[in-house]
Amino acid sequence: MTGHPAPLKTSPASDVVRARVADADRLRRMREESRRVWRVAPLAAAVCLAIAAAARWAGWSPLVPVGAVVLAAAALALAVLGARRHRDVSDRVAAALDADASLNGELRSAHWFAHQDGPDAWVDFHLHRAADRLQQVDWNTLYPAPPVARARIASIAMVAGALALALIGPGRASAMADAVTANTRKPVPLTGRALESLPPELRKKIEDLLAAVEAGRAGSLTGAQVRDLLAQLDQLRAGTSADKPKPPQDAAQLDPAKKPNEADLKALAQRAKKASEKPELQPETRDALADMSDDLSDAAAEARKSAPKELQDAVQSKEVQQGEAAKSASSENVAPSGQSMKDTAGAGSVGIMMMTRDSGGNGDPGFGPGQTPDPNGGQGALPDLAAALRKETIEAGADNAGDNLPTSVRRRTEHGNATIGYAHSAPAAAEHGRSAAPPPVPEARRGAVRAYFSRKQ
Amino acid sequence: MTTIAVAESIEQFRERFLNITREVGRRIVGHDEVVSFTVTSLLAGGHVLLEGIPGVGKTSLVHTLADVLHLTFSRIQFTPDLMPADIVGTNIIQEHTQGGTFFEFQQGPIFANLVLADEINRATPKTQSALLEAMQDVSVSVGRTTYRLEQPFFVLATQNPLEMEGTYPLPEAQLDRFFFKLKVTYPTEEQMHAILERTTQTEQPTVSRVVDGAALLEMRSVARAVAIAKPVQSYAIRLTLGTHPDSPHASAMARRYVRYGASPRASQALVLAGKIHALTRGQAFVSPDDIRAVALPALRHRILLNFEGEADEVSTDAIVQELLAGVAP
Repeated sequence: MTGHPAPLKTSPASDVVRARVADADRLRRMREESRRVWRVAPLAAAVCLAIAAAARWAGWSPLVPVGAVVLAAAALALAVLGARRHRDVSDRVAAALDADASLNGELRSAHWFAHQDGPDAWVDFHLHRAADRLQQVDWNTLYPAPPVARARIASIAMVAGALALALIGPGRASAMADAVTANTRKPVPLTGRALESLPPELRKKIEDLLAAVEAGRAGSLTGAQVRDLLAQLDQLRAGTSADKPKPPQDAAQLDPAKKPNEADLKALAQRAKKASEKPELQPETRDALADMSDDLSDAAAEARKSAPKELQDAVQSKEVQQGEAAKSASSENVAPSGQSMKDTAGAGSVGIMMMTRDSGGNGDPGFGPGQTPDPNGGQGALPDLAAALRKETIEAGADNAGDNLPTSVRRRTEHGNATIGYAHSAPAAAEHGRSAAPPPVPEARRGAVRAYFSRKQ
Repeated sequence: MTTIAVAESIEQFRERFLNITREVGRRIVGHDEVVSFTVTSLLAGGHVLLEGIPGVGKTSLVHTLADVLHLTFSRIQFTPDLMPADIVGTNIIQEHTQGGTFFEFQQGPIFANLVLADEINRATPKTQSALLEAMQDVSVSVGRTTYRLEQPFFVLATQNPLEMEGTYPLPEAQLDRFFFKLKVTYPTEEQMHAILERTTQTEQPTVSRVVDGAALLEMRSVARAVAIAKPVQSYAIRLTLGTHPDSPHASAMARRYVRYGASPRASQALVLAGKIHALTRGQAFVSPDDIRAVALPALRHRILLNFEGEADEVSTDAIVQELLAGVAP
């Protein structure tokens, strides 16, 4: 028994019973829905607040959290409105109302008879009595309004917070710029990059340690101390450390001459190797020093690979780049550009890319990729970097193929149709997708390679 | 009939019912529920099977009821050698004064308003079945002649659950014809004091006749006029169906221990008794509570246990109670 047909013949008592039961059912549904809504509302408000916080952090449009708030409010309002509408009362609902009002089945029975045709005297009497009793029931006491003060305050506070975060917080463009900057800060797996930012204190520690060993003052030196330095070095080389030392900002540290280059690293490696051969040291310390020597040697090799151009025209490029840097710094309205500053002190100099901006051209160049002393924490914006990269010739590390590779035929990606030439062979069309030049062709196989390309052409 | 007349009928019914039970209670100590259900069964036109150990007042209850109701009363002591004719009556040969003989029907003890069938399970099934027609159709057939019994006709049978030696358990068909099966329990210490005070002194408690046969029949018709909503009636039906092991409403115990469930007579008993129960509360409608209140005496004797149930000594009361707990009103 879930429902009743429409009444065919009614009496006033049956009308009263039907109306009372319907009102009671509506009140009960409203109270239940209100209780449910105010249980859900704080959760929905919390979700909206979280969305607003996420939107602010990620630079989404403010419409996203506002939309979430509107959507949640609309859903809850719909639920309340749904509970308020009248509907047919089923026998099950009538039984529940009857039980709640402790009417011992009178409401349920009367509700059923109120929907029946042709009531006799007994049924009429029953309906009259039931109508009287139903009128005496205080349904508002039976179904009191749920205590929602705390839930209401919490919901309103959280919604207000969400809206404040969405509307009063920083604009979308700023958030986007932050997001782009954040993206450029993401660690790039560059092998030579970590050593570019070798902190002076670490370098000093290594040098002090080596000096102590060389001076015969290493009596108290332990393997653990060396390993600790080694671990820091590994962290830098891996480029993944969250506690990566912040690049120095002062002018002295920005001096390319003071940055560790291949020669420095090699020298350090040799010193570490010599130190590791000292018989007065403990075996563990000697092993650690040997490891350090190996690591420094590897780092020197990586540094050399990261700057192949300097191998070719170290002296000339230094003059040119320094001139360009000066030009860039003095210009007010130049397009963003990237320059490479070269340290020609050694054979394996380290290239440094720096940025100039339209608005910040008078500042000192930063250290590292896209570093400028602008309000973004010295980080270049992605569009600037992109423009700079378009203008800059990218030379793959592996492109340093040796003496047999003519400088004039190196691939230039800015043109997109650069050609690569091999000694004593016709130039071949380069693949646009390739980022690294092929390895040098051994002398013994040069004839075969030449034959291959000649046939292809 | 107006609503005012209905209200008066309900009030009169309630008053008479209370008078009967009050008067019976003056002689019968305790057993208020048994008395109430017995009167309910009487008003519904049903018969009652009283079960209890000897000496707990079963026969006294019937005697008292006959006194209070101002009805003709007869008692039949059932024994193994009791014959059907000893109950129903028989045709005997009579002599005309002018000479010649003829058959004349000699009425048996069944021809009374209130019949006490004491220790009914001691008689053979053949004799027990002599009551079947009387209980169902309120008539007896002897030879080719059917004799109507006077209304109200009410059979109160008793049986002793302990002495099962030499007894003949009532067949299911006979059991089903009893409206209620009531268990007369042993009185408490306090009730024993009251019994002794009433029965061992010079003055015996007397009862007055509060209702006669006509009033009883009027009460019967009032009881049948009570309205019952279909959902409540549906509840009574589901309770009945729940006693059947293959019913979807059956409880776990019913599925395991019941061989046959209650017949449709059980539903009739539930609804009729529910109506009377509602009237005794001054209601013009039947509620599920009324059905629940009378479910135990109406269903317990209509459930036939299977071998497993008998072996585990399962009580049908437990099955009914589980059913009441499981079937939603």
